Amino acid sequence: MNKFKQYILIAITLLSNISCDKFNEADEAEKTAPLEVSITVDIDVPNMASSEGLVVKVVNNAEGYSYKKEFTGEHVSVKDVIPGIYTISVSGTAKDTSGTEYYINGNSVNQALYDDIVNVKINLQGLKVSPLVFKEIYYCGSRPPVGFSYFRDQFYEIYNNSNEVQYLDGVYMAHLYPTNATRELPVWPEADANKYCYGERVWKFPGTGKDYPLQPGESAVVAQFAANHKLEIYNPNSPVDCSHAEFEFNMNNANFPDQPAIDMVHVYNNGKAEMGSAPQYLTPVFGSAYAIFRVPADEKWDPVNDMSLQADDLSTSDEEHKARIPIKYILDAVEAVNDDSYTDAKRIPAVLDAGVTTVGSIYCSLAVARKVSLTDDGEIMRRSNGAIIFQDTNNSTEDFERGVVPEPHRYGTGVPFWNATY
Amino acid sequence: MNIIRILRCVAVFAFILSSKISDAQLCTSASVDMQKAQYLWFDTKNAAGIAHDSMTNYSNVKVGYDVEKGDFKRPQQGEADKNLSVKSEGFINLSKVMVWGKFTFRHENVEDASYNASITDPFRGMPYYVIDNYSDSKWRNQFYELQARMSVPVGNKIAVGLSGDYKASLAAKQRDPSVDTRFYTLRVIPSVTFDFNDHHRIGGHFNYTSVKEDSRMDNVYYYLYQFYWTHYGLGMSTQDYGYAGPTTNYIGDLLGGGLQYQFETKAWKVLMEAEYEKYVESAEQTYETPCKMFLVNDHTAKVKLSAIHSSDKFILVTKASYLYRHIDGIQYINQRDNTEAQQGWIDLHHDIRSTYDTRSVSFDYSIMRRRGQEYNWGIDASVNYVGYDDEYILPKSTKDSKNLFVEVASKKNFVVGEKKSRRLLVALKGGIRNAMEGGYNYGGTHKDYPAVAMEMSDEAFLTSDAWHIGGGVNYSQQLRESKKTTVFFNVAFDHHKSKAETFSKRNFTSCTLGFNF
Repeated sequence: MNKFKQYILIAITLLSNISCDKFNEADEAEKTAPLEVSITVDIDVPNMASSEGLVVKVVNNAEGYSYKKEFTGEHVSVKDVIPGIYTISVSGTAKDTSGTEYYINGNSVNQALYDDIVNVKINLQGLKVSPLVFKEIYYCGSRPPVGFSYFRDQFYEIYNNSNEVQYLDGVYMAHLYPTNATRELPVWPEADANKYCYGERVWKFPGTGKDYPLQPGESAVVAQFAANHKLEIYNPNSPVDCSHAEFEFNMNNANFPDQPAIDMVHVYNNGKAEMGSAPQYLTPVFGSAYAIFRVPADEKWDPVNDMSLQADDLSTSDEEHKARIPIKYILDAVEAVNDDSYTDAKRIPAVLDAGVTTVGSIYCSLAVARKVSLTDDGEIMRRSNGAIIFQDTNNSTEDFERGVVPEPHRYGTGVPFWNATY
Repeated sequence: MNIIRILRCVAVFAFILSSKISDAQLCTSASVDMQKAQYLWFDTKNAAGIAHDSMTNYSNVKVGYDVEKGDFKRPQQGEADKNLSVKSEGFINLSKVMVWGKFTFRHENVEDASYNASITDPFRGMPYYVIDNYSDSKWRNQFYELQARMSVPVGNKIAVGLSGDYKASLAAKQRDPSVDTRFYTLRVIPSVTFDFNDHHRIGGHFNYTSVKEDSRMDNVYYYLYQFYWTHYGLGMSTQDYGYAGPTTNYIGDLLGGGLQYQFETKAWKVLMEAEYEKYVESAEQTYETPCKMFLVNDHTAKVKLSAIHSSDKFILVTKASYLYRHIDGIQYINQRDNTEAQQGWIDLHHDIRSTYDTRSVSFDYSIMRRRGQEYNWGIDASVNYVGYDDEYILPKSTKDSKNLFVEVASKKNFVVGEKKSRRLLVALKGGIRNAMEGGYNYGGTHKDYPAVAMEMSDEAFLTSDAWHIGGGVNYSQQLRESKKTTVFFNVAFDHHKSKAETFSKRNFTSCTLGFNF
């Protein structure tokens, strides 16, 4: 019988090693059931309190669940929601008592909805409707005949979507941190409290005030390297000729020398004004978050010399200083992500861009381009001077066509007279 | 481990087991088959029970090569599947202790498999795995299995036993998205039997099994990004894109037990068994910052009745069983802790998203005409019903099938010569599969994802009427007349033909060279 006792002891020893937690978790799980989610808003815009007409979207893009409803009162109730991780966004436009039109946006990214969490409050912020917008962004690069990648043909196009002349002089352009879409979001000092976005590298359009006007319907292309990329020495497979770009990010690389395009002015990189040793200004081929902003005339913004305009991501020990950019400065921002599955990895506030856009791949020679606004008859909406009015709801998911062959000055948008490359 | 080392291990294993075998014992293929057919307890997990099976010492070594080819298959299987295997098995009665052991090594080359991109066996009851959209994936797999059973009589009425299995496998998908996945199982089953008297006996066993699969996806051509889809069940999946798929850590624990009752007379042996197993397996992504992704809660209940009637002329074996298996597929809702605390992934909620039911009823009947220690001829008949009933709860998708399998086989053991016990065993078999009903309705999103096509293809297979016909020839003879060591060579062929237009056929061919000691 001693052997029998030994067997019993062996069995008890083995049993004690089994994870009871896992068995308990398995046994306590209940069958999933649809939820009714209640959404309320808190509008942080002076002289504007009504949520009437705002549209709420509850989206789980990875799993393909999407619900949409319009506010008719103080809150909106969305039924039959499948438990999961969602991006809840509330957006629309409204005018304050002075008649100024605002984009009203707010969201809750990575919002878990399940039994215990069915009431969600969204803080809404307002951003003035911008006259300058990103019209097209080509970030993913192309594949050369030999080798794997070519990324020097990236470009960004800025368009005057208003009915008045706009001056690019002094307008800043930045790509925002985190550089790549990620579900591991940075941690910022609590005092920042949604008042800022964070620039990794910042550039500025040159000019003294009125050197670089854009008439309604005109656009300016900012190239990473303003050359004809289709040339044999670069990449014959590249879809773009950037030799007529209005601006370029000249990084003083002898192998890719300065081109006729006007050089952007480097402003900020990791706490310094110097460009650093990078041979080019490359934003992620997976897609980044891009912003253009203008500092009000009565304010000063100098993140190199004013340390209060620098911030560190507290979730990492890396000593990389980002530039604090007040959200109220932002004219337009567009967030691009790797592919659709990264919708829940949105990294910038909804007030800047309520959605995301993507070409879904890398080195695929495709771009994202802003859609034109259409009349009820399907005609392109134009201003009195013939300028196209592009769609701008501050939601790049809605506003951008995905996966188009990149084309500077698409739709024949005007080339400013000061472009000397023609 | 190379093949030579494996063969050496097998030879040593076989030699140890063969050292106690009587020279009076016949070792033809038919004699070994007939012995095994009479082992009722051996067919259970109760190792203690082998003391009551009147097992005779035997051992064998086999080297086999088999090939499956054809499109009548489940989609994750290869169009061609080639296996080289080495097996050794033996039993020794050392009077105070009875020991059985088996070692198996198998190298598998799978050609043109579809969808599965991450785990060794996509049919093992874990619906959570990563798939791709290629139909030409090659896999190179290796399987090692060591099994042992020991029974020790304690006094006149009690026998205690211990069974242990260890399985290890390595499966490597050759095209991107590639995977190197390693699967391990360790099973320990203590058991006991108690004799009330010469006619009545009860037994019981307790089963603990530990399972682990470590799946690491990584592209060989890392600069060519690949799409892949994480499958949650019944076609529901999410899409990802990158230079490497996820690393998934599957860990499972099984607890189970069974009770047996045996009634025995001179002519009859009847064994009834009831068995229940509960298996819980979790799937977590990455080791650095684990994220709980999936959990299966798998219950299996089985009852079985086996009866053997032996007379001077015939052996009749009847077996009937019923199996019910229910799996809950549990999904987690996780959030990354994006605060300064950085606690990694936080498990907020989990609930049952899918269920999988299997019901199986089987009835097997076998008759063998004795001729000394072997059989002269035999006929086997079996009827099996298998029903699957699966559901993804929200959004609702269903997949079910009901199949009836009927098979008849016959075998004739020709005496080619008494000198060296030369025998030619010829077997013929045929059967039909009646796919009574079934259907797949996908109510989820992303209908264009390959997971949906995979389930549709699988359902097409599961609802296809089919028939099969096959046969085999086994030649055996003693190596020397003075020694009972018998060499045998077996070839077998089975042709499966689908009646559905979607499929054509699948052929199974095998050849085995072996020695019975």
